[in-house]
Amino acid sequence: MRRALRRARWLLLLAPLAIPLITTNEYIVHSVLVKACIYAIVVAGLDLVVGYNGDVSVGHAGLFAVGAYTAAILMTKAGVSFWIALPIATVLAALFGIGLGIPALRLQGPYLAVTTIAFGLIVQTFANEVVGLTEGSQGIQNIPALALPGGYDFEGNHLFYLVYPAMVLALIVAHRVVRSYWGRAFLALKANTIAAECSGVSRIRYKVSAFVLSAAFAGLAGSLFIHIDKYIGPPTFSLQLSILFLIALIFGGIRSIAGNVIGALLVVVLPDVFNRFADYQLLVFGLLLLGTLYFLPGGVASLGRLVRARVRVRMRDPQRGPTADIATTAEHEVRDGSAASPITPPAPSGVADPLLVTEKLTIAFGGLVAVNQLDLRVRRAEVRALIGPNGSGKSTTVNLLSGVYRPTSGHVRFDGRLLDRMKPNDVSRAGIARTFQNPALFGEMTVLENVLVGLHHTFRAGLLGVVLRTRRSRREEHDAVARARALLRFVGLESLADARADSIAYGQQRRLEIARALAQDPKLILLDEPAAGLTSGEIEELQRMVAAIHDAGVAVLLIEHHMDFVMAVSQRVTVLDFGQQIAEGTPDEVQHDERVIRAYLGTTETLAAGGDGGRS
Amino acid sequence: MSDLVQLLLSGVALGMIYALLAFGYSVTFSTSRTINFAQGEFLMIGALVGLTVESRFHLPYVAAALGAAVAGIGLGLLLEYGAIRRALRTGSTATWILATVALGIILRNAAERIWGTDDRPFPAPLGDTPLIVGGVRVLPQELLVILVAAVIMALLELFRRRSAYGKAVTAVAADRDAASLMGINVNAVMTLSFIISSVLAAVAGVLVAPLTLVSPTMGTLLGTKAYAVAIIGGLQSGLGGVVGGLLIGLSEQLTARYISTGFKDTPGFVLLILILLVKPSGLFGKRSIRKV
Amino acid sequence: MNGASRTGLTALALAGIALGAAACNKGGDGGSGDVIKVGVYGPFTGGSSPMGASMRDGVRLAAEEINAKGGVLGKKIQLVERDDQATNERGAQVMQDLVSNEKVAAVLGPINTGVALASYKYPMQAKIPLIINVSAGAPVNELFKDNPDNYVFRIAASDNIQAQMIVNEAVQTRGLKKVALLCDDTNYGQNGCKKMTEALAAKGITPVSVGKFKLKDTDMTPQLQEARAKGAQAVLTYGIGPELAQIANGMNKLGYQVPMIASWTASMSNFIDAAAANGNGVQMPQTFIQDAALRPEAKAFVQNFQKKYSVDRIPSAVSAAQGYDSMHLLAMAMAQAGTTDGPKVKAALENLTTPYSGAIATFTKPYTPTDHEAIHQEQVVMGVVHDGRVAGSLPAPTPGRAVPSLSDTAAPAATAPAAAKKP
Repeated sequence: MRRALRRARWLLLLAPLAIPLITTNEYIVHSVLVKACIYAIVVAGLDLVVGYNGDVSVGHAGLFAVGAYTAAILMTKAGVSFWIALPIATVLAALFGIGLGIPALRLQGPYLAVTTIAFGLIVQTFANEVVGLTEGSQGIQNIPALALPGGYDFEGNHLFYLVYPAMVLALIVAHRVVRSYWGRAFLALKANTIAAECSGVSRIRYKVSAFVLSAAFAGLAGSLFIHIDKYIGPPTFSLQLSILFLIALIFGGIRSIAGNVIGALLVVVLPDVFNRFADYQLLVFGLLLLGTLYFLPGGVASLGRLVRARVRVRMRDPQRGPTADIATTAEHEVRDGSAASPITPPAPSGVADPLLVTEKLTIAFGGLVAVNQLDLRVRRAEVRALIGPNGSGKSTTVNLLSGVYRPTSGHVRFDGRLLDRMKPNDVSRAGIARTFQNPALFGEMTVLENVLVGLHHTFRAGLLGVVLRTRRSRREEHDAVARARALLRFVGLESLADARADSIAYGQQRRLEIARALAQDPKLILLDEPAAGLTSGEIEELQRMVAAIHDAGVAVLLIEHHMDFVMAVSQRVTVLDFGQQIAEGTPDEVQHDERVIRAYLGTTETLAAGGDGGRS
Repeated sequence: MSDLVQLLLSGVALGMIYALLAFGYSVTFSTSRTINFAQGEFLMIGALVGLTVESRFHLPYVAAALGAAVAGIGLGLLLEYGAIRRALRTGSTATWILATVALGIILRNAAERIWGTDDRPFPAPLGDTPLIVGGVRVLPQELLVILVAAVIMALLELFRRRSAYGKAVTAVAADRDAASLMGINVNAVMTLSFIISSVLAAVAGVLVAPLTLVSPTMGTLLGTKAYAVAIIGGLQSGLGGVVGGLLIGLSEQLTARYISTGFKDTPGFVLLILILLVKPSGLFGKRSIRKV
Repeated sequence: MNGASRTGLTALALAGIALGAAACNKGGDGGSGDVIKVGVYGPFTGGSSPMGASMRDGVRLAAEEINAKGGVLGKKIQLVERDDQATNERGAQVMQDLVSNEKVAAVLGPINTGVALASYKYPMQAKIPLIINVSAGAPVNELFKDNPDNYVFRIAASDNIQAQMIVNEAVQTRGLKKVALLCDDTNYGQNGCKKMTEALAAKGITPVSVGKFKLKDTDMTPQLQEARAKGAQAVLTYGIGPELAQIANGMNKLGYQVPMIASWTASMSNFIDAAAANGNGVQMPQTFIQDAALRPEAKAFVQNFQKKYSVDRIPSAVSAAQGYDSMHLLAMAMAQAGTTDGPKVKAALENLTTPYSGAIATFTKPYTPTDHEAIHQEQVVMGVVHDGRVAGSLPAPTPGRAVPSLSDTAAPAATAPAAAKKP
């Protein structure tokens, strides 16, 4: 039954191919639908950058131009068949995408936007000026007809038979990519770049990939575009066209395949619809755009989502909304102690203890030396606390160890490797996972997806595997979801798996961070004030978790102000003050260390009496 | 020799035209982290209002500038309440870009319907007779533009550093919430910054109009170039606008003269990308440390 | 709901919209209703709209006159106007809208060469005449090679003619050997540049410098310095009004006093006003000069235009006159063909039996089956800008910027385009 349904869906996809049989109107098919299909490919690609990566490109007309000109030049000057020109155009545009992606690594907002504008204008200038190749301002005319063996061609309305399947394929590729670990990597980087990197997602790889994929889409669309009018000229590939693509994306709604198609169709049809406003048509268009941004920020696709959500709520018990009950049950959820621990014990390695060694680790911000000549040693499977007054350099140490900061001098050795020049995602791969002082979750993603981002390292299937949905990629996804659920069970959040991460309570967010960190199969986990803001019940729970992590053989570096908790879970305690280590020993030794007491209280009163002695 | 000086001078004048518009970008960026893609259209409205004041009511040039300034206040409020505030709520770069683009489209079409589509001359207050100094010929208006750009830059820096408003802007730019907690009326600071920016653009319109001609489409290209100029210099700096303007203006003229007239914009844009790759906040921008 | 089905639904929605649009399509072809639909396309908004709007106004005036006299074939002319926003792909799309949805009987326009290139195929395929009434760079007779059944006509001075006349003015009339070319970087300007280079080469001359400028450029110092450094005795330019004005103003600023000979667009009000005194003496080829309109039909056109649109000086008199004449020629062809059927109207256009006396000239057989250009060099005169108006010019024998007086110029302009052509 399910299979039959699935087949029916595929048939549904093919249905529009009947349109040219129903109408011979060239305006509808050749002008509007064909162009809409081509624009939809560009817009779906743009969505990867804007919707998923959270960047912006006002230069996609340049990439579109690269595809169009490559195909047109190959066909008219080199006599190459379109079927060969098409992949070349796509790949070349993708290479240009690298050129746009690299600035995106360093730039944001207005700075990135202007770079993409400059890129688009440079491409347009070249199209206009390199006359020998592009025919300059005259444009390339007489692009050959697309003949097929057997006397068939793609002329006139038949062009739809080429561009519609191309669009469907492109949209399926886009859809599969964004639903895979790739899409989660994009979204994670968008929501919180540092947290994503610390979860093992390479910023360079996935930011640049998004631009490259996006550029490939634009290139493909460009190579199709040349067949509409059989003529291309530089003025077409203007800044206005780049803006038009953005408008289509926002009209339709980001992160929605349907939205991409609707948006593309709208920007193609609206100017003709608005023709009735004659010389005022741009004004009306501007007002409509502004109105959409105002009243329908999710685009037209969000209308559909809104309606669907309404229907779904009505279909359920009207008394109980879909989300109302989750939070309460989660609070009372009891951890299933009988289940096997989902924590992977670190594989034994040839390197002896200590696991983590810092050698004269130092970082200075301007004149301020935040961490000064720190020599820290953490043994395998040890629970080590790092305490010290506010501003003593604890969080900075975590940032140094996780690769967020680069040390000014000194080294970090971990499991026999030098880490201090590594990027956060490589540090994560090396076996150090972390949580954040202020929970740094991927708010727009679900709880489950947050953990799946932590499991990023378990995915081996490449982009091609994801696009083709190979057996391997499906198995990996399946295994990762099972693993993520087990981890959520471990931290007591299983029932919240499908809730948005930014909708859960503060204590739950902290636990989710631990699940995400454990998903990285670390040898060492850095917990940055995990108990801050938790209730005493939650702290007990946390204590049990730390114990379980310890039992699994994972080392813990705990930064905490909550002294009862510190003393209860840690085997050894290191004390920092003004970026320097002032003491190290068992909890008992440290509590009676003169220098520690002085650092904390400025007097010689004993710390032990206070219990919760730190300032928190 | 005098040819080169002449060329450099025209580059400086062109650069200062860009710089005049770039100042406006920097003022609003500090408080809202956005760029007004309709800034060029604001300049255009300023010029057209100025032209109307001057030709319809036969008032002097200064009155035209004042008229433009008044229009600028209205445009600033329109920008803030009509486009930016709402767009900021969604937090996506694409949203504020498109909101301001939409505003630009509306203004351009409206201007065409009100003033017609034609390019028209704007009489230069100091006349069209070039001044001749040692073989170099320069229009009085070009000198006026250079002078006023320098004065505006100086005033802007002074205002930013010395006045309470300037400090408030710095505070809002650094941390909105903290500034709000310190008793700074963030909304008022933002509104004021939008008004200042738009008035700057509108008055710039009256200033450059005698050199550029006046039409509903006069601002589009200028706006894009000035955006590049503002970014090259660094959005947090008044001096940056002037330096960026000079870089772009001179590179345009020198390329056109000695390399290729067709590629004259390209070196400037390549320079922009290279500068940003090395200094992601522009030449005079400050890089913030990422905090966790 | 999974992605595939959502895509499918979207596709269905697409199909629905498309079919809905098809259903709403007013139907009926250009001649079968009680009106004859004629498409008009050009830029009515944006930078090149002064030309587009003047052209449209000329067409509207002609259509009004025709309808006032009872229309054609007993039916009224109904203009279907489409703004192509001067962009190629918009131009192609509105053309398909005109052809497929509005089912117009013929199309008039456009202004921009790129728009013409992107869109001419559609009327050609649909066998509907397209009379290009402004674009000088669009291919017309060149199309015969691939389209023996050519439906594209023109009533405008082609770049070939204009370039030849500009070069003749500089080289023959003024005897200058060193000239600089300065053209905008659009299709239009560059085509003109190419044709001028060819015309110069035919006289054994290579331009001393070839410069470019972009639309909305405001400073021409580098280009003019280059021309002056190479010793150019005249600047031949191809562009549109505002930028040409910047060239004239730049020459004044630099004290570079050589003749400027421009494409026809220098007669537009946006050049004349913006260049003001610096525009005096600038020459350009013209098919129509408002102030030199002495033939009764031309005078009537100017008067009616002034009355209808409440203007004294027509913003682009050339566009208006060509638009006006293109509409009248089309109507005559339809009347002669006795139908609005495309092939028959085309045949009638190619063999107009009665002369047409319009704004530009009296056309006797303006088109033949092998020549779709109505304007030939003998109908084009060199106009000269003088004190805010365009005057017909006399050959100016002395180098330097010649400023002929108005009284000298009226006569040749009046007689030159009088009778025309074709054996």
